Amino acid sequence: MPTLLPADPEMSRRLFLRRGAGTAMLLAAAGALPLSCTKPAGRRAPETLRFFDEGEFFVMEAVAEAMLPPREGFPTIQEVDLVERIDAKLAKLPEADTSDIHLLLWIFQYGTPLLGPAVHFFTRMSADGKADYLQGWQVSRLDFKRTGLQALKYLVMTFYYDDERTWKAIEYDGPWVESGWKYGRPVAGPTTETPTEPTTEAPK
Amino acid sequence: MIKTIADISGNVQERADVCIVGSGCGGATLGARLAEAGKSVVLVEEGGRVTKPDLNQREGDMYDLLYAGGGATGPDDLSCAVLYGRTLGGSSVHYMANSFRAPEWKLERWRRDFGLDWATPEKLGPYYEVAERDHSVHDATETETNENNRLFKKGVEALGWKGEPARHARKNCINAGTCLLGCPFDSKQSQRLTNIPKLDGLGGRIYSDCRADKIVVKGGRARGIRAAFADSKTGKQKGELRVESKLTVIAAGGVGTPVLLLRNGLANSSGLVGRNFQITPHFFTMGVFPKKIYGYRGLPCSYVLHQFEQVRGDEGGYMIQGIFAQPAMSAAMMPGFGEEHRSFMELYARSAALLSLIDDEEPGRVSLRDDGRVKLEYRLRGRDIPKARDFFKKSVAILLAAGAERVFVPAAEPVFIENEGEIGKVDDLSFEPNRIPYVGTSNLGTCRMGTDPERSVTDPYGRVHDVERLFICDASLFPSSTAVDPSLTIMANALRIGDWIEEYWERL
Repeated sequence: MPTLLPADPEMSRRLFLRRGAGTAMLLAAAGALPLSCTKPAGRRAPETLRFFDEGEFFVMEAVAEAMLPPREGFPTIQEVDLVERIDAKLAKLPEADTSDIHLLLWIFQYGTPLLGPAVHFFTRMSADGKADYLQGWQVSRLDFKRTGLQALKYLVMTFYYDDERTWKAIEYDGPWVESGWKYGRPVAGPTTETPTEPTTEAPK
Repeated sequence: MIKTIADISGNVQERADVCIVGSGCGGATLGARLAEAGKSVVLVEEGGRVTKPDLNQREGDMYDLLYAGGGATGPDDLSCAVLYGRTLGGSSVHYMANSFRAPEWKLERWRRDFGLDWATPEKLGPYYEVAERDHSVHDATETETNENNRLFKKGVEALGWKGEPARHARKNCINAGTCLLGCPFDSKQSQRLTNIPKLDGLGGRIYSDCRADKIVVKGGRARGIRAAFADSKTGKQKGELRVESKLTVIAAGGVGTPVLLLRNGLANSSGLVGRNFQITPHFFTMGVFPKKIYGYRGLPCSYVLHQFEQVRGDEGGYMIQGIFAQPAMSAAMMPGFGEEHRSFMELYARSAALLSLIDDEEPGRVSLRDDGRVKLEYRLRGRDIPKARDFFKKSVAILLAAGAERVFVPAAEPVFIENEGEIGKVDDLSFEPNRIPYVGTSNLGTCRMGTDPERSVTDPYGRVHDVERLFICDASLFPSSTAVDPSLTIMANALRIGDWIEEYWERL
């Protein structure tokens, strides 16, 4: 997927932070404020998770819901198992290339305490609050915030719209090899030797 | 003989006249050319071999199968995606198949600035002709033009500008439109269908799932490679390939070639290996029309505008072409999130898109991290920003002239334009990282050729200055962007290098 996230074993792209004192302090803070407290009452994360822990799952789900709020005609993020599919993908990638995602979710949940006095709890914000928070990251003057938001957005959007259950709402045909050549017709270009007749059957 | 990981059960030893690393437009073309000249050729490719049933037109599957890093490679700040192939056939398997000759003005700069005397339309012409013939290159016809490109043409003509049909490499195209995900109908003429079968038929020994690690050099002379058989899907290793060869050719592309040289500590007396990294940035402009367009159906690009290729005053420095992408890629590019993003996606079928190819001059760099992994650096800056800004102005004007109700630049803070009087809004765009998404697909310049060993990595025939019998044959040789899709020029240059190798074989 063109997630703009580290995926190549050869490509380690530090998402938004350099290793150093700042990262160490954030990690220490992360230990003091575990994401497990983000868990909504009465809900449990899927037991099949391989990349996210339970707390991260709910932060990621809240991010995805804020980016893709329910809308008539579109499936919900739960209906397409969005976070579970992202989890499965990230679990296949080398740890060195994805470790920053854990940190990114922690910072996203709690704000950036090293950069300001407020500690935010993203999952507990109202829908409008979450949207404002996302917008703040998207247009921030700080490069790492824009980069972090971009990373989350690419994950959410590409995995959501790659699912065929979203295609009806946007009038996308889907793969012709599965559905037959519904709209296309063979084209006789200058190099064509034998024009093919239209067919409704999928090519073999 | 084409062997994949499934055919390998242990170590393999090969001896050949020529060993080529990389199977894209450069490596496959040179391999077939030298096999035709009677040379024995071993070609290795890190990616896997795909066949028609593998190409299922699904984005998630195809990015993983065909693109390096699943299409997720780029610089650390994620400001752009740098896409290239990792499959037998290289980037040609997922390229758009646009097939343009390098413009004369660009070749003239190569002659003037780098002493590349061969860079003339006359000298390259015969090689272009062969590549065009072998890949069924022709002007896009009316029936190969989808609504997205018709609107593009309408807008260009309404403005009094002069565009032209795109030249492209397809035959018997059925207008499926998923070219960037590989062609399951064998219409798009990628190396998978042209030079690789040709090389195979001429006795070439081709290994996919085979990652070259070591260039063997003794006494200042390249003598072959060592490679690992590694499943391109799982990374699981099965054995080693050792190739002894008279000539060794690296054709792993604008990223892969410098990486292999840097890891081997070779060819870098100039300090230029990995430098001068150019990606021909692709920006997008979207227009929403009153009627359904279904821009994803049909050839993504059948019409182009070369008129602004050269910088003239405050204008130009890019070409414009039609484009459209499948939903996941489109959704990633669409601005915003939440209800705003949903609304954009609801207009997917009514949207048209135009694409830039910026003739970038401010290079990035391909290098290695301390742990040996790849590091890409690229940032749009300096002279390239006015080009991108002018592209947005011109492309907005085209879409408005074609009848768009509303045009937008998909930036983090999108710019919406409904009439010509508002085009000046483009001046407010910020090109800081992650303000406007863009993609690079023509990765080149990282081992540029030239006559001066202090200013180039190879001579004008792709011979590495520092190591005898070591050649490079891909877009990393090009001193700069070709201002158009470089695929055809990569093939023409490979044929030219092949001619030279054949002629001087005994003296090499």
